[in-house]
Amino acid sequence: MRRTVLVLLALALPAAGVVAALFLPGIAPPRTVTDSGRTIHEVYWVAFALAAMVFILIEATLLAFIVRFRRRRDTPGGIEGPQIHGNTRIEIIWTAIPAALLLALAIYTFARVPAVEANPPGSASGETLEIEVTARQFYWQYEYPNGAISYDALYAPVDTHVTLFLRSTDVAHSWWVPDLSGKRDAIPGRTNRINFRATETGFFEHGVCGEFCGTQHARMTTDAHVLTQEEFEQWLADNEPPLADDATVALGETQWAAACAKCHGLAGEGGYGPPLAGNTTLVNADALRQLLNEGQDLEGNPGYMPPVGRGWTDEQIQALIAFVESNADLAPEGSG
Amino acid sequence: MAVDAPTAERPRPAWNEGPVLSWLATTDHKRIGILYIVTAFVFFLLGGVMAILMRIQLMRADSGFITEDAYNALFTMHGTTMIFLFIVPVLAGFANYLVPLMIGAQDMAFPRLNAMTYWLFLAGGLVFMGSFFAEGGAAKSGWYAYPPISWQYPNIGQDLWILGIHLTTIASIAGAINFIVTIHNMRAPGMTWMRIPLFTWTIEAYSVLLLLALPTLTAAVTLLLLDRQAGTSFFLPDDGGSAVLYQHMFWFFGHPEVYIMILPAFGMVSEIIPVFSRKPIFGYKAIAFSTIGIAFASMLVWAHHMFTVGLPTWLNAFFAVTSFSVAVPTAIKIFNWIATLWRGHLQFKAPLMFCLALIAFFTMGGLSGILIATFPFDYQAHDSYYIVAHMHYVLFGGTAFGLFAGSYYWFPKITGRMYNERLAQWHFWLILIGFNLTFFFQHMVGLLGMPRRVYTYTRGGTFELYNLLSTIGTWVMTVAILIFLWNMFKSWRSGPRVGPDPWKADTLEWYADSPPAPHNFTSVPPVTSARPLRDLRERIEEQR
Repeated sequence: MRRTVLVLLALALPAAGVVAALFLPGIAPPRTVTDSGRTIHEVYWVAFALAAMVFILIEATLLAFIVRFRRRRDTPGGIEGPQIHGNTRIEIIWTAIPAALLLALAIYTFARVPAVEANPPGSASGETLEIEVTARQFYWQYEYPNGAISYDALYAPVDTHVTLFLRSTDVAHSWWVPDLSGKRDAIPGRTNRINFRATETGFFEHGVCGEFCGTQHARMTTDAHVLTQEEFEQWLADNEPPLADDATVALGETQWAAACAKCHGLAGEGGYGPPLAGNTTLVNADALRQLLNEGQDLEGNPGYMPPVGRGWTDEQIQALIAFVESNADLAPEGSG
Repeated sequence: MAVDAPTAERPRPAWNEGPVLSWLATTDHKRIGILYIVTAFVFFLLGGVMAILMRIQLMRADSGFITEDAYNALFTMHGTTMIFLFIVPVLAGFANYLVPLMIGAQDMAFPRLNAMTYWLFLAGGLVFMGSFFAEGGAAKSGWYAYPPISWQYPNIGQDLWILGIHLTTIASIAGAINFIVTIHNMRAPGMTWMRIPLFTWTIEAYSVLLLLALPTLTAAVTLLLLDRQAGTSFFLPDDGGSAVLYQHMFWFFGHPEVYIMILPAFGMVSEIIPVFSRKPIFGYKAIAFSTIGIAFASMLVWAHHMFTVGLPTWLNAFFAVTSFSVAVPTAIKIFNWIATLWRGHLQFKAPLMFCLALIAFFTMGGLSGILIATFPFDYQAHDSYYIVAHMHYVLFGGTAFGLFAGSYYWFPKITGRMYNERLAQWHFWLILIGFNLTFFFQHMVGLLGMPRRVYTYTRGGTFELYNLLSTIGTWVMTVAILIFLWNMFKSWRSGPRVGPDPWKADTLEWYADSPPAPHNFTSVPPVTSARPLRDLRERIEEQR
């Protein structure tokens, strides 16, 4: 009787802990709006259930033994426990059971991998939307099939297979929008792919860079807009180059916010980097290109500037200049 | 059948006398062990201060407590310090002190090499800490120093970091050779492989892993140094190198390193639980062989740190299976420890308390390890705070708890005095609370989307609350560590004196005086089992 109570109490404590944890926000990766993300969510819960079971059993046994075999006030000083050196049969059992559980988990996981990798079935027939993602210190550049570009914000249509081709021109980064799917690294010298198909529209914040990439790693964020297919077509058309003047300025503004402002401030007031407001390099295409390609390590400055715009096209440089010239805070005197 | 040892000590040369010189010039394994442990503990305090500063910065969203560069240097040096200057050397310190005593030897096989490893380690530590004062500050590219970011930073701190790695790895490699030679050749008569203390088994595994894994790190950072300073491009894709190659080399070292850091703590648990349960260890052979099993498997799991690199899926699957396979010998250890408690008479002194906490909380770290080895889930968890939580449940809930257990358990042997049990219990409960408060909520904040190594974040609400709790946890741990420090300091000076064997323990170090004489033993009792001291007590009983 007392033994039953002890066992039940010992089981109840860790079990209660696990149940309480289930109510904490963030106990599982988000149940996302994509097929692959949902599969990850599902794989997590299977593995979690297995782990929770093992956890409860181990902690319960430990607790029960601590209570049951504690030295009591009347325990004689020199007493020893029974001199049991082991038991081969028990060793075999508790080797085999975890091995079998893990084998089952491995088989289940591998069966779910195709759904996670989300290799789109019709990828050869051109149904897949391919988006080129370039990771740079410290922003994301998205380039769409018609030449449209966006910074730090992904636009994708719902119910469509999307493949992101991830590249980096400087250091290692990792693309991660938790509400869409898992992460995948962007490493210089190689092209990685990540596939997903969103089934709901929505605006998803909280995309980040998962791999430490330097000073402003914390500010290398991205949003994701999942649009209806009509909205997405419209967005593509609006942003197809050549852009109208106001659209160029608008693009330049997102470029400034993504590539420049994280160190130099939105109004060029300076921050980690020196103030840029009124700096003539901002409107000199050749000087700007050289700076963006090579970066800069100024004597006497604690930090250095990475090559934030390596490989930018003329259009991108012109868009930035157009924005700077249109902006009263940034434009050098006599320009624009 | 006691083994005679030379009773007369060699006369000490003049340079080896006096309170300072005798420590500077010592080749005594016990003194070197103490130097290692005390120095490593100082580095633990420094690494802890770095962690506290980081947690203050992350206490609130958009905090401006320290600059981005300072934060990036702090997380880089926190990891570097805790791994290369605290855990590995403090384990070398305990091994130095204990292994010769446990196997009935008079010293390590190569006493001067032994002294050299300590001074190299200290030099490496001074280089690491000194790099904070170099122009541009300390290294800022993580303890793993992936190129190209570690190549790109122009500051000399990164080069000093490489130098520090070189010094500490050479120290560890030489030390590993010394341990292996000592364990293989200097065991007392009768101490066969199935009779050596389980802690010594783990030091054998620790040494073999160091010898296999560390040269790869040394090579990797040497190539990195050449890329930085000699214009080569081993790891630079623009000129035909491979950034991913470095990641393979680093983790080929980096994962065995985890077991280098945890196995000796497991060894301490295997020594302590039987003594405080008044029972023999359950399944000596199972625990010894599981140590070898973990060491072997640990060499085959490195790319589970690289699941998101874009390796082929079958390769990810391979590394998932090997990672799962480490869990089996680890589970064997946990089950055997719990079985050792069964029908024992548990004496809840601080050493046992910390061992029980290790079982309870290392288990959480082990289980979250299985979750992230399930690589589709790792796509979400990778490089998030979930990993930070997992890794601290392993290295704090595992290694640090084991080290606290070992510190209290061997304190009377090393100092000849007993620690204060009351303070030790305060230390235990406070650190238990602080540790869980700090790291438990990091699981959740990671899955909410907080990446590692960010100096700031903008999200409020639960996200910020979790971070705040985590920061408060570090304060509770700080109080606990201060109590530990005070206990050690005070008890070393004025704790009650103890005899050779205050715990009625099983292994040979308790046969020597407390603290042991410079040559350890004048004789060693015959070894006919894994518990020579208990055998000796029984023989004395019989003779009465």
